Amino acid sequence: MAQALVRRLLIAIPILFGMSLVVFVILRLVPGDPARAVLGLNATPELIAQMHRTFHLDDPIYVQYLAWIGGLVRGDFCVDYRSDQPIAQLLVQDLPVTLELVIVAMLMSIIIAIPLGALAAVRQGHVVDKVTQGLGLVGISMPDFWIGITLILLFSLSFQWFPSSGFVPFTQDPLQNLKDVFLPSLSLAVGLAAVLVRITRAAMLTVLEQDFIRSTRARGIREGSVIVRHVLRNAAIPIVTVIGMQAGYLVGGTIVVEQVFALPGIGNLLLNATLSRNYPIVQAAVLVLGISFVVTNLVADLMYIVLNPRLRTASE
Amino acid sequence: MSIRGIDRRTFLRRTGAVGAAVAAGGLGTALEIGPREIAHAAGSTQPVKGGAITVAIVDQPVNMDAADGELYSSIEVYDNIFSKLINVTNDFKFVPNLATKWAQDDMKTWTLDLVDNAVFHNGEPMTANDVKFTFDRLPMHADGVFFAAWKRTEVLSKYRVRFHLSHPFGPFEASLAAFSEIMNQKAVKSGDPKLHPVGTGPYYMKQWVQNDHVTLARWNKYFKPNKPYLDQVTFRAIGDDTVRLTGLQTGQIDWIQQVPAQQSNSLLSSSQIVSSPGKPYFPYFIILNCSRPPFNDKRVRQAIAWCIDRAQFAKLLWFGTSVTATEAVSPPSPWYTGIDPYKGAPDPERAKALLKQAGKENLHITYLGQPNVVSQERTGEILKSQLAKAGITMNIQNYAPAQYFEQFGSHKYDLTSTYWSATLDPAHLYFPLTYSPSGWNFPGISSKRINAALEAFVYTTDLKKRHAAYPEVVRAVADEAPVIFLTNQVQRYWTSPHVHGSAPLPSLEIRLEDMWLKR
Repeated sequence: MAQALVRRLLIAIPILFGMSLVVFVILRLVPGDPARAVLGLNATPELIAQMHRTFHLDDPIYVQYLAWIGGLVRGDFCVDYRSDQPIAQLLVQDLPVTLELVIVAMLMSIIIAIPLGALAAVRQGHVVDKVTQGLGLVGISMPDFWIGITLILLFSLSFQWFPSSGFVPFTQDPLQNLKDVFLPSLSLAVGLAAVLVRITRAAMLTVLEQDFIRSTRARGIREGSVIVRHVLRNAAIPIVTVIGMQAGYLVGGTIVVEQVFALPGIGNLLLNATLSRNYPIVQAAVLVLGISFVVTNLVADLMYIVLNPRLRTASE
Repeated sequence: MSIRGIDRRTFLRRTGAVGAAVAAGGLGTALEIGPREIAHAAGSTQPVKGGAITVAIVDQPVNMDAADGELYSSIEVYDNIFSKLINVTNDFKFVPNLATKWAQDDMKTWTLDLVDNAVFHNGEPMTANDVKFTFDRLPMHADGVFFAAWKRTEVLSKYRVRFHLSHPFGPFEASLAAFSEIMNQKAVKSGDPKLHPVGTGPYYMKQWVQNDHVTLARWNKYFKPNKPYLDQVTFRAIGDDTVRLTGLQTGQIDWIQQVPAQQSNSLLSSSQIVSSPGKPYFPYFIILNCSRPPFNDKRVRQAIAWCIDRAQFAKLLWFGTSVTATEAVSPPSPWYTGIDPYKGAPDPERAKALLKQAGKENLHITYLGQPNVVSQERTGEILKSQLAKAGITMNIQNYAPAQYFEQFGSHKYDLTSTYWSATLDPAHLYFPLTYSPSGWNFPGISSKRINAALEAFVYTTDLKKRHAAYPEVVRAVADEAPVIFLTNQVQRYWTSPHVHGSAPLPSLEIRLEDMWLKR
């Protein structure tokens, strides 16, 4: 297990290095001078030249990249072009918001999707199955921002149960924090839940048709126990795989959802920085989101080993 | 319906704003005042001290250095941290602020007496040296463009300064009222002014969590006795109009400045929220690149002007929350002239005739836009359909902001559209944008007529002469058409019924010191 973990971590290093290189190069391939984007209408030749000097924008691209990577190794993420604030400070401040959003959304989608998917599989062809599949289709079809606005109009404006925007840290006010993240997380969770329902149903149907399930039932084991302990457990690997892969979707979704709910997370930071070509922030934010994606997949890989004893033996 | 003995019609007749609206003709419903806003505008309650409010602005503030004027969202916040030398009232009068009185010694010299009780938020007393320091650093910053005539500042005594100008400068008082936030030398040298603003304003910056909120707290050593009223104000940026409005309707937010345009008129009768009077202080216009074909030919620019149906822009772009505009200012600005050399537009036949004269019958042009700026994108679509009636083919080319500003700043475009947020004096728009030597001459216009008109208007401090010269500025710019005004967006602030004293100012600042809370 430990060996497998170390191996996965070692593989993550070139992935992150490649990701940093790609992000760095792609940003610089986009036409347009970031100094002009940041300065906008105030962009006089003098101010543009001053910004180029301050941020070494005229250096060769490899020099800029090496300087950036060198800074990262020392924990220096550079400073925000606009406010001069250290980016590490912005990331430390914003990352917990996005992580909380993603974790709560993931938990919500698991809590919604797995029981529904299991029910649909067990009641295959019945009304419950058809309704579940229909809801899944609707969930997949609706974009996050539309779900967000709809939830705001319904639960904030009409019922006044949850706030429409804003964020209070958990450490400051746990109840308010949960209220703040409920609607944004639900906006994100709907899409993932819709995918998970379909995957859970399909994976369980495959397992339900297998001989060992028939044998288990023949031994007189209770149906609930058959479903939970045998069918669901054996169907878990594809479900975990999809959850791991969809983590990237959730992280991407935070960019829009944080904007809609005015949450001070990495997604919001990234969007504003992208629009103003604030290179250092975009690079740092994408790298952090990339790391979180790699870590989520690492956790999913480890879950395989836990769930499947054969993989555990192989890894040992 | 009557409020405090005044029926609505009488009130409308009596107010200057509406009187001017009538003069303008066709301002439509955009400036109508609802009964609930009358009570607030008329100051139906006495100001009380205390309380905290949350203000939702549209964008994140990014830079608190008042000399940079970077993004309106930053200005909205720091205008309450810094004090200006003079202030402007909502009826366009200049009133004392840090300067108790000011006088013109001669055409090129102004002397100002300063208050002796203003204290910066770092405890430093404000003196004439701070005024000199502020103006000495302005030319290296963006706001320097509004003090183009400033030559030097002379400290006469601890609380008296003299400004020496290179030539008479008509909009000097307006520039002082709009851009003279006084900064402290010690604070600027000891901390990054972009992050740590230190002013003498009614509020000091208590906390700035970037990407989330800015909290301002009452400055107890504010130089105006009994002000400000509110203890604390939190600024939050909420980009989505619907979410901002929902926040106000559910009591999470106390003040917002923009609602979904489609709902604006129906919200005027809402019982949950209150609107300030609407004032058209945000001109929106097309900019034509006069430095290259086809718009280096005046006749082609005029042809575009003859195609414009402003009422359609007001309706389709702003859903009735703007007034049509043919110049930089609209009523109630005392500068408004109502001059429109294109009366009768849209007239596609006249446009076609001009294009024929210019030998550009099959005109193909490209509109520069940004996909993330909805108003710009919609303007492009409406314009395209209007120009098509005169046989003009317009492509819309959208660029990301960096590329957009690069194309725009280096004159690699045909036409685009934008708003302008500085029109306290119309020179604040016309002079930087259309005076050919200006660094902000984005249309690339070089017109002797406009230059002469602007010099007559700007390079004199005699108000009568300025008023006499201004109509020629409007005529010259309309005739040369480097910019074509479309609409003037009505500024309207929306608050909870408990918030009082909020009204749009011609300087577009949100003056929190006038606001109070009464639950």
